[in-house]
Amino acid sequence: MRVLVVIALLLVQPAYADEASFVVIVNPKNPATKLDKKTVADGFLKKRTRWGDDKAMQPIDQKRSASVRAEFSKRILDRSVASVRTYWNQIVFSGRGVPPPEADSDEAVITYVANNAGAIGYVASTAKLDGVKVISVK
Amino acid sequence: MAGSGGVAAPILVVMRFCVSVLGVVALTGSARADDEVEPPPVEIHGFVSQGLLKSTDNNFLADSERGSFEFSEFGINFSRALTEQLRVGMQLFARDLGPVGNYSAKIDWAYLDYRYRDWLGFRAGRIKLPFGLYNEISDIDAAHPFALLPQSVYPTNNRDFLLAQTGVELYGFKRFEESGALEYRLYGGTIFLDTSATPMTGPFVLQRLSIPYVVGGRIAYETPLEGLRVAASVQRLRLETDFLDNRDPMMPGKMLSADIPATLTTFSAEYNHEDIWFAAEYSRWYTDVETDDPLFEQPQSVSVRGYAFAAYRVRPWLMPGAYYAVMYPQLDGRDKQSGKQHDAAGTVRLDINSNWILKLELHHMRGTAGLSTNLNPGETLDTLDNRWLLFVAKTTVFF
Repeated sequence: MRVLVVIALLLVQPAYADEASFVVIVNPKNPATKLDKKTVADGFLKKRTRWGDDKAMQPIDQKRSASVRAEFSKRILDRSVASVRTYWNQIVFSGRGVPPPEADSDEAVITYVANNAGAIGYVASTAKLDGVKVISVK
Repeated sequence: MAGSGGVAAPILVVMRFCVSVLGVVALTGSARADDEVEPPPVEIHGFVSQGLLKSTDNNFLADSERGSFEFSEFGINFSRALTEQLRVGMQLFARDLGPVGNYSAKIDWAYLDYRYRDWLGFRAGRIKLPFGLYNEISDIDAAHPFALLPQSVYPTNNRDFLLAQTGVELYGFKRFEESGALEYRLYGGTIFLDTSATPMTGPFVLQRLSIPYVVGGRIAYETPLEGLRVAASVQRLRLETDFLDNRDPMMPGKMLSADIPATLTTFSAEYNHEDIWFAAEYSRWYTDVETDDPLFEQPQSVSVRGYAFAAYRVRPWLMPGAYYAVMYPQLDGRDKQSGKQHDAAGTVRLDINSNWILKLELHHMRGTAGLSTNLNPGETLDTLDNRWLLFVAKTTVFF
């Protein structure tokens, strides 16, 4: 009975208790000022690999446990982090590609985006944004 | 007969190779500060699976009636981006599934991939076949909810025939603003088969089995409804076979030949949005037999297969699912129990952590078309039990 109660509690607790809002960032050299949600999603799922000016798109993800990743996945990719991982397992083990690299923190994402002209990432909206450009996503 | 796609090498050799590559990767990997992200020079991913098959009656895939752990898979892959557009990769795979596999390591896929633009790319090498929605991932536990994908469309014991081809592929992806997106793939090549891994006994003993060509394609349309895509696949191949006819034990065996051109089609629909996952596929396989021997002459046969599945990720670590699958190997013979296989399955996928999953699955089977007389000696498909249960447990570690 105790086991059933524990399972019930696990099932009813919210999936991501500590949700944070996020902003999408690109390198300041990137001429884009706004992107539609599908372009961002296709970039992070590597269905799209180039910007409008033909430069390589370099998405950078956050670590799987980051609350900002959970929110980004839900709002931009329309899937949970676990579901996106299943998507990447399909790609990786059938030999069709590899997922974006994962950063350990907002600061690491900002550094990567600042240092790579084609990079795109997302960080908590409270993060200190040096050397990157926030882009609006519709 | 070992084809060039199958490397008949002990797994020890493969593991030595993997360790060597891992060593090279470790040496070439650059140190990085905590706030720097450096994609690894070589991406390495792998998995190890161990399963259990237990059936109430009939042996399925292995000696399942007794209960069998001969249901193991190992895979490790390496890939590297040489330029922004050019990537190379390979996966080594070994399995043991009842009488087949026996841990003989094979090159599962190995390719060079040149992505000219998103709408046009090119692959050459040994490439997994994009047939239906899930053929490429049918044996990748981490990539779907089930321990056994619907066997009507993705028969595990046909893995060597249907999984990969050696040749070339053109592929692309094109989004049309608000109107959705198209993903398309066209391929052609041949399939190398290792018949030594497919034991065959009885009055006809397989001497040669080759597939000189396979061509096909798949087009998938991502609809404007988020998560919904539909797809159509077609595949044309030719099997060339030689059998030794041993029906008369008093006479030396007589060689028989039969060529089997086949056309396989599948229509698919999938809805995968947030944590909901539905899919349904309908498949028709057309085969002819071309032979001079009247014994094998038969009109074109049509095999019909299909399934529908649903799965829902209740929690990040818990995903129950269910499917109903049906298979008629020959549309004309579906009245007999040997002419059909109905499979109602329920599964639970538990993600114990981000690298370890456990699947528990129960199948209620009706019909015997998916069974093998090699695994059920002394019986015919019509004398085996018509209704039977199959329990599958499978655990996989992957990275």
